[in-house]
Amino acid sequence: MEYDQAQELLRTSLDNPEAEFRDGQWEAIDALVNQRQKLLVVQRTGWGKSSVYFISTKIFRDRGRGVTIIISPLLALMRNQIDSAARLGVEAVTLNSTNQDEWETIKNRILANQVDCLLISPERLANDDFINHVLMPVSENISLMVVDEAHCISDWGHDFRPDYRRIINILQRLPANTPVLGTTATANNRVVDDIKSQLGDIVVQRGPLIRDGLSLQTLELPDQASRLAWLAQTIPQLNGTGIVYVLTKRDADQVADWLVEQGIDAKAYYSGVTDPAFETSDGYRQHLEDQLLNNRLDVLVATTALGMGYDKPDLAFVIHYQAPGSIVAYYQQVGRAGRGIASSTGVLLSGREDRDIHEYFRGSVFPTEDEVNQILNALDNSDGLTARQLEEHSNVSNGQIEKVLKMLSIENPAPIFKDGRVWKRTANPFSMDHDRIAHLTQQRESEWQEVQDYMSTDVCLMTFLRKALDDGNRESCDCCANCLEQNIIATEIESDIAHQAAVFLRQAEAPIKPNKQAAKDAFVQYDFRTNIPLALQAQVGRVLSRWGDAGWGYMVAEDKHNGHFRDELVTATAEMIRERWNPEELPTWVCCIPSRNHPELVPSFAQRLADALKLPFVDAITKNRDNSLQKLQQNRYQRCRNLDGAFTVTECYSGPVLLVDDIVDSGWTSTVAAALLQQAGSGKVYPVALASTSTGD
Amino acid sequence: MSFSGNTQAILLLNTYFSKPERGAAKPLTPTEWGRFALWLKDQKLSPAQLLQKNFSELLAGWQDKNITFDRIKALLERGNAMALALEKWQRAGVWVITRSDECYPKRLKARLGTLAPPVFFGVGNKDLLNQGGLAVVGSRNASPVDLVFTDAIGAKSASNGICIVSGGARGVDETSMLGAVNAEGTSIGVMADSLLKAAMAKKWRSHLASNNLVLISPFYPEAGFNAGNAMARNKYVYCMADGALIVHSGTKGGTWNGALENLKKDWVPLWVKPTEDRAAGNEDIVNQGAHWCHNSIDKMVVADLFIKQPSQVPTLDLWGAEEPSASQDKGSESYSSVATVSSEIRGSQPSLLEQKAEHKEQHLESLYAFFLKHLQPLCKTPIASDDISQSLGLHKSQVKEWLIRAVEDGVLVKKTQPVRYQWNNPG
Repeated sequence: MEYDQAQELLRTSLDNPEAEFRDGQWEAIDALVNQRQKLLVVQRTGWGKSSVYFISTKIFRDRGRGVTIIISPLLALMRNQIDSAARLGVEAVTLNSTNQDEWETIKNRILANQVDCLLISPERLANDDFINHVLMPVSENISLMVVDEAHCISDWGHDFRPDYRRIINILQRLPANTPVLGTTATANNRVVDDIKSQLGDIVVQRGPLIRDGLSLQTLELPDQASRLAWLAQTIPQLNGTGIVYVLTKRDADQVADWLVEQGIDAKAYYSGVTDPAFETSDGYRQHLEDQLLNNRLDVLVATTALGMGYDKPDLAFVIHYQAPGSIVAYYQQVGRAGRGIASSTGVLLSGREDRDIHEYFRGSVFPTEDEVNQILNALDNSDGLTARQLEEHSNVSNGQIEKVLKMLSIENPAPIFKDGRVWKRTANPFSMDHDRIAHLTQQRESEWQEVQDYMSTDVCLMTFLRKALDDGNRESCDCCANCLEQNIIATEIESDIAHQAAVFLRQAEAPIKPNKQAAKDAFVQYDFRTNIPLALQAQVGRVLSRWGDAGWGYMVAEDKHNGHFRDELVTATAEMIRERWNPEELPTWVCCIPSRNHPELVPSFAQRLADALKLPFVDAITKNRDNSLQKLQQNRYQRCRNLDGAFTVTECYSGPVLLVDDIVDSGWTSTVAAALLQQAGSGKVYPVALASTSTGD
Repeated sequence: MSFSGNTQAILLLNTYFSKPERGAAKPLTPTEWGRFALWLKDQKLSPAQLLQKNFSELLAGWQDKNITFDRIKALLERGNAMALALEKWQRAGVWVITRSDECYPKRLKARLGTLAPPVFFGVGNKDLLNQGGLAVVGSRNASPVDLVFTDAIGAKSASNGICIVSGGARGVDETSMLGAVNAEGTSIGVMADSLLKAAMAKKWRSHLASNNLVLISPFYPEAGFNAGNAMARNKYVYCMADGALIVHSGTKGGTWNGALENLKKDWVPLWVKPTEDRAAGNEDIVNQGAHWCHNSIDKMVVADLFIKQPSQVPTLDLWGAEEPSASQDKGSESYSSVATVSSEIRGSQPSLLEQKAEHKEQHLESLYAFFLKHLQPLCKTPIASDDISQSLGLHKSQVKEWLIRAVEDGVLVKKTQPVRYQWNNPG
């Protein structure tokens, strides 16, 4: 393949007879199709990586080779790419969780040699079902594998992802005659060196990461109310649409709710976000990505799930509500702003909770040794178990089980292996790599330190970022707050909005969603089968606060410790019920969850709440035995099992009832009590609690 | 973890990476690889050089009707498939060895030459592969009595420090191997299919982890069952061992063919366990040159099974009866009358004196006993006296004498209209 022919293909693809290759594009194509090299391309977003792999695909296809596999973590990107591939006459398709019903058709089309490019997510490539049934049958003809966002394969990368570990294990086994392309826009020297050392014989092509017209600023605002107020007053002043990055899903919901309350068209975006109008979360996420892309939203409030490769050239601003964990991650996120427009804004806010959140993130990356051992022991004693069955054989939470399985299964050789639907223990030994865990944790700590350095630096902010990314260009940007020696966006907060934000935060109420599906064989005495009958289910309840949170959550924690909930909490709860909740049927009486350890705490609160609501309080439920603490039960099976036979209803009235508890976690206690009350003849049961500790698990 | 260029090239040319698709290039057979490898060697080329950019120039002088350039090229271009498959297999603990690896079974190379498989996949302790040991083979559907014997052979070998080599299949294979490893011995299993599943099976897992077991297969680890592969596997079981013991064989099928192949190629001494099962092919295998082993585990010396015996065709044994040597004596002891065999199976151990008496009697009656042994397979279905004398090449009157005696002894049943004889299967 010669330069001229390749250029012809480029011109066709861009529909521009004058088009020339950008610096490095032809060299990359030549390395892949003619030299059959392994290549890592480090180029800024928008450089034109897709031209490289689509033109290479075209060339391989013309030579009679099979499909190109592109592994990319972003759904929206996939759809954009499919369109641009089509212009080149490259038939690209994607397989993901939103089009599962088409998999068989797509697989057959690939087998029939009708597909040129298959785009999949890293998670898909880590899925054995997909590998065995879709990929392996066509694998002998694969012409090229492309790994997008290749920095994720490095331990040194800011964004190491377990699924990429599987990818590197595959790439390491490619023979010398098989080309591969890795691409990234954010890799410093250490990451590039690490990738080189892991993949061996790989050629690196590196371009400059210049970003013109992006104005940077930092702003330290310790409390959440100030930052919410600042967002509400700032966003309407900015022209165009943008992204607000937050650290947690809950913050995404909260910030989006606040902005909407303030008349800003905002939506929350994170992995698992749902909307009644969409069947799957991925479908809804694609919709949100489209909405922002087409400026039908003012702002998307997103976690890092709105990640790599999201390419919206006219994004006007990227604001961080909380500081990200590393400067490279920050560059990657803020770098999305204004690629195709003259000027854009990037502001990094930082609050007092950031440090705690990152500490929590660092601590929760790896499961504990005890959790790992529980899972390995359970598998050792069996000939295969599903993740669900593992709950029965361990006291490890569902989320942690998944984490353990993921961590163990990406090892090579691995101590466990997924065989169809069940996990099996292999004969391979396993011991926790404490050194590696310590190394990664330390790595994250020093990255976090670098973010704090960025917050307090007085040098050019863009230069600071480039330096962190080992970009050779050290010229100052002349447009950041440090270069201009003045703020780009005002930092004073209007007291009116600040007050509204404080009130908003206090009302951090949330629904208590009733549990509907009991664990199999867990309720032997109560005889609840898997599906709790509708007539025995609790109604959607309400919780006043998040445990330990600003607002009421802090007060609840303090009072629980002191053994008495103050009247202020009674008033707040009564207000919530009367003014904001309005249950479908108004409760006519009040009862509560009994406790043997704290016999007075909840009944006293429930009694006073009943008085405030002018309803009778009935001591309706007795505790039969000292079961172990419900909060120590880590998964559904153990939670259900622990409650079996624990309560009896001794007195009951027919009207709808308010069921009071102090802290709600998994919600199984109120689910069981509600079922027993309704078995005894009560009306609908509405659970209410002071604080929730649920992690959504 | 990562492989040399030579291993990669050998894998690309010789193995499947998943269930073969229609129209896909077929990996080379061991014979084809033997031919191609020889040519490479003549050209002073290493397999790894085929992964270079200029490999088509290197192959310019290669001409072969079946192993075409296009086929080689297509096989070599399966790099992505190989990487995906190896990543998966190695995750389960599967490793790969080729003929140039130190741990590749030397006995196989010595006995099979260029037909020794270019690649073995395996799990467990590679160092066991050159231990040799006793091959134990037999049917999948062996009787409980045979399985008890098999298990005991495994345990006895273990206590004598002898490795058990078998095929890892249900029945005799698996029982012999588990017998050995459960007694802290070692074992080699040569799998015909599903190595990947075996690598995770609970029954093997702890033994693999404790380094007492190695499972290997020349077929890709996800290969399903295939009679051809199962048949091909037998030769590797024999060739990795120092002696072989057949617990139970049919008169056709894998065990049977494997045994005959071993006799024909004269790889290792072959022993057969006496059996009560008249449908068994055990006796025929002995007739074709194998030896009876002790029916009693206690008396058996496992290491003796490795000693090459003079071929034990029936005529020789007849002469041996007059002038018994130590080893032939061992043979003839379990080469006993039907009655003795059954009494031993029933577990009634005759006293030393009785044994001696019996021994004498045995010599006196050996021609009659010998006749019975040959008669048994013939009389599975009713057969006429003339047909018997024809089949065995004996004089009619002699046959008649012995038939009368056999009917009197209750060994045969006489049927009338027309007169035929059938083996008596009591109860």
